[in-house]
Amino acid sequence: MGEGLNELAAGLLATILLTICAAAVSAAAGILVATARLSGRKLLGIPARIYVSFMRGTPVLVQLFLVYFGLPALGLGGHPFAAASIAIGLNSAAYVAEILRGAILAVSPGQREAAEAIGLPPARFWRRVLLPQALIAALPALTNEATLLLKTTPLASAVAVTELTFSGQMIIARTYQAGRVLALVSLGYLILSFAITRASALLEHRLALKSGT
Amino acid sequence: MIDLTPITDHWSDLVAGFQMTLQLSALAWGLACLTGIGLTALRAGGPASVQLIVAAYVDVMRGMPSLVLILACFYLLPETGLYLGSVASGLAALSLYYGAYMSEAMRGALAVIPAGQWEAATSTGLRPATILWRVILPQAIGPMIPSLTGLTIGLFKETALLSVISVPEFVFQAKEAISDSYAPFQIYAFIALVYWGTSAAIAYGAGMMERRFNRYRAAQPALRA
Repeated sequence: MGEGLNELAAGLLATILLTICAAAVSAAAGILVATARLSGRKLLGIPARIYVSFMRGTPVLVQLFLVYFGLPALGLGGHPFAAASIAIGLNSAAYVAEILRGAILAVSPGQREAAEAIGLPPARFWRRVLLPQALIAALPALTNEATLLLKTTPLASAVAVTELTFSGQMIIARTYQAGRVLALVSLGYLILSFAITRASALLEHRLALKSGT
Repeated sequence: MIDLTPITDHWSDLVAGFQMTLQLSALAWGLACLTGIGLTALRAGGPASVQLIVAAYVDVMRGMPSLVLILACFYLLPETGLYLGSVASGLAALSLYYGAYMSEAMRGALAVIPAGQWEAATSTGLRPATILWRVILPQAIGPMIPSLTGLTIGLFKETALLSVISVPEFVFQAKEAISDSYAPFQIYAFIALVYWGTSAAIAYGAGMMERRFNRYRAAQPALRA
């Protein structure tokens, strides 16, 4: 079991790394999809809606296999970790996009009018006025989404990424100590999701202080 | 033109896999609803110690990836002497997992109903069962539907994870077809479309139910505020 602990620790680290990479993909794609849906242009809005509907209507496992077997066709094959980060991130992006869209729509229209009245360019209005307010409003939902993303990362084991769950499965195959190993694996996820919620609560507190609300 | 022979060659296996997915989803959904109702009842009316245990159970389930629970049921139930096989272990895992989420959705919807409704109904001499059935539930079910729909679609999609413990559902049959034809992209794209269509159908059906249960609400929008 001593050697197994090292393996589990390495797996935990891989899970953390996978969560961070997938979250980066999710944030970038989520912002793109949200802005496409809010652009008011059908050419952007309709593909974005189809994207969200597909990502929410199909199993992440199938999406992961599509990315994993689709990437080689684009000349980017053979990297399970990258495929898992992209697939899990793109899936989460659909939910992030809807959260951001809601939060952006919730910012009062008076803000836009005021920004126009003082002649603020639209890009600065987005960066300085709209997004800061929308992000604070969206933070609780985004935190929830981050913990959901964390709980999706075990699927990467299906394409042989040695993250926490896969390390656990390998130890079980060798030692038959399923009970102890799975208890440790679950504990790992519980600690990580607790860490995400705590970090987000701290961030929320700081942002609230900064914006003076 | 896309080559469809990998799909047509394995048509009957894929159909059998999809039927299995639908059966598993329906069964796990029913069991998860029962678990959810049981947990909600215990949490609302049980002794304080039971309420604490239920709350801890729900928290652990919500902090744990479903795949880990599926593996736990698969490996650990036999150790307790329950040799269920992979199908039943998978069903148990999904029911336990989604039961916890469903109880949260039900609790949320019940919490919105003002305590005055219970008090008023009690003061008119209605029995508790009648109050629940005639007063509380008709008001709670409509608002519950959106979150339950999300969970239902989630459960339907999550059955795909049972392929990991070799339950012969849709993804498992797709993998078998791929090991034979080696056309992974076509086959996964095909099953993705089928999943997508089914999720859309569930969402559509739930939308109709929601309108039906909320129809009396339109007259009194102030209640929703």
